[in-house]
Amino acid sequence: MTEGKMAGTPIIRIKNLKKDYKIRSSKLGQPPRVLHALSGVSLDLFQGETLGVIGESGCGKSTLGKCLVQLTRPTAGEILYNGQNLCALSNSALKPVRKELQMVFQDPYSSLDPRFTTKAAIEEPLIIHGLERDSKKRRETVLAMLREVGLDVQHMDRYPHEFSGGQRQRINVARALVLQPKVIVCDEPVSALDVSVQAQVLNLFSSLQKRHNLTYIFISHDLSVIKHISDRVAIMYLGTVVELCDADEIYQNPRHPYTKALLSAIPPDSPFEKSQKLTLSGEIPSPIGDLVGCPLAGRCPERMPVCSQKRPALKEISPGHRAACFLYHQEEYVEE
Amino acid sequence: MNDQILQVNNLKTYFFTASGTAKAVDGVSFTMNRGQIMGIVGESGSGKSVTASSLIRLLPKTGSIVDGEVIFDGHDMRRIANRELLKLRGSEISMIFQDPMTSLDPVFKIGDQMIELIRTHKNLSQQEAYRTAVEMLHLVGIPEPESRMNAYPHELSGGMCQRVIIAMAISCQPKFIIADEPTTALDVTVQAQILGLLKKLRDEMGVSILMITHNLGIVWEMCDTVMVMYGGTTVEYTEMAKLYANPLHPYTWGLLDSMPRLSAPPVEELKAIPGTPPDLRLTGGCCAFYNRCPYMREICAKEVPPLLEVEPGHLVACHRQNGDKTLVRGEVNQHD
Repeated sequence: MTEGKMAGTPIIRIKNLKKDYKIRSSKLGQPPRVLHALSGVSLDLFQGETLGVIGESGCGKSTLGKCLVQLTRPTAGEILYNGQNLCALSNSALKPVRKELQMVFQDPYSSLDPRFTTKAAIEEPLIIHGLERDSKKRRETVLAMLREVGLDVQHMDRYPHEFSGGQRQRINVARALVLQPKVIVCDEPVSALDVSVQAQVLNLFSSLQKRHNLTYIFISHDLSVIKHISDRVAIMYLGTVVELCDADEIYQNPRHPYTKALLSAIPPDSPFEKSQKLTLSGEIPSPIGDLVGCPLAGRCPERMPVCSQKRPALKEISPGHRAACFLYHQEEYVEE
Repeated sequence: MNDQILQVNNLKTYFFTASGTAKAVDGVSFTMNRGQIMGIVGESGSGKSVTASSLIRLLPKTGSIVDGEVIFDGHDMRRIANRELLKLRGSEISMIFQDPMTSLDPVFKIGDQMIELIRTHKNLSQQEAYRTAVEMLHLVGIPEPESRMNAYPHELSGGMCQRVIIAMAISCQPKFIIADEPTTALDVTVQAQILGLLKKLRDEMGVSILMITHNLGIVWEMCDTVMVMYGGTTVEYTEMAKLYANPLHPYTWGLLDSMPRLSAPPVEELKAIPGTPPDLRLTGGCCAFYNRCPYMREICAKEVPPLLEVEPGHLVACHRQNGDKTLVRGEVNQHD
């Protein structure tokens, strides 16, 4: 399945994407410090695939999603979509592209306007982009979209507070889908939902992808969700992608020490699964300030002297499997 | 001296609100032994947190325990005087809450908060209490505990705050700890550290821990016994290994099926439970799960299923599971 999708040309190419935030110094008169939310991410996204992005809080996965739909403008790097570099486009030139790149957010409670009925919320993008000027036809489009996500005509004139979390997330999906996008960035769309409802929404995402040939970037901190929904998985740590491979590979053959630690930290599938615990000491270092060397160097159990001097590049270590670790390639590193 | 530390019989906690009576806990029974870790699993709104709060009468004004019996170490927790209860809370029983960042007072140094707690319950001087606090911080693995005593909560990360809260919880050598989703707000690698710490406390100090969680993986890793809750009632209660090997309630089956599994081969679609959790104002008089249950019979909508011991040490509340193995997981309901 993945092989066929990989053969196509990438729909989006991300090249060396960087996003810095300036943080006001706590002392008066000192220059602001810099937080590197993304420090050089390069990824290709193929037509019709689901790319899972996983990492702990603060690793830059949401920033990556927001940069991709240009909700925040990256500091440096390129995002190539249809031959255009999105980072270089003006806001007005971006408007037609925005229609094709949509986003579903994490919190189904705060991402809907409490004063908008379902119909108003779903038809708003149509009005903004001037796609359907006739209000009767717009109502039909909205209804079709509601049925698509498993809701019906009775839900049309209700307000967000009348819905459960799962239903609200369905409305959010409908709102993204109504513009017939090519790519949807899903930023933790199921983390606020209960397991039984989470499964329903995950199934909805899969069936919509098949019907509309959608490409997803699926951001989550839950590895089992990511493995279930994704074709390929990118593991992020402190603003960089440390490993990129097929979803099955990640469980069967993780290579990067961080991925191994992440896998062994996840509670087991059964009480009899006693895995060797590979625990990382300490916590994620602060992304503020310039970091020399591999971001994991301070916590890594397989640290080598070179790790604290140079930053390893994301290189292919076996077909379709990339890792950024000096254990697998000594000579490739990122010029700072 | 008997081994039993906690006995809960037919506990009912209702919330009396303007829009009706919410039966948050509607008939929960279990027992716990010394040194045992028991898990309560359920989705949000299933009554697991209210059950825990009811044990130490930590309820808001709208809620009250209307029926049942809670016996903790010989004390009748429903009838005990408030003054006695205050002595028990914090010293014999302590509680760890879900969100570590809001459980600590932001305007006091963590050292002062710990010393206050210790001196409330123990007859110690300021210096002795200080030494105890440092010792506790050291025990939970906080580096440089002396300097951390002067830190404010915002200066610590979420994982560190949760360690401080655990240190506070154990500083008076409690017999019983209630941990209400202690790791939900934390990242997986930090979660693994905290779970390891709780397990160590049980092994070394012999405390009993009541773990509330929605993550079955944590149950497999930590617990000796498990209670599955749905709509305010106990649906299944048994030993952890028995629940894993031979779950009997249809809701438990649905819960297990709807979780994506890391070790399982890829599946196209998850088996989600249809529908949404019940409105607690409308439950009672029937099985809370009947309208989502694929094995529903007429009786399920008319009578509350009793909690029966269908196998030795395995309690299930289901009309169709009465011990003669008439209901098989995955069978097609021939009712309609």
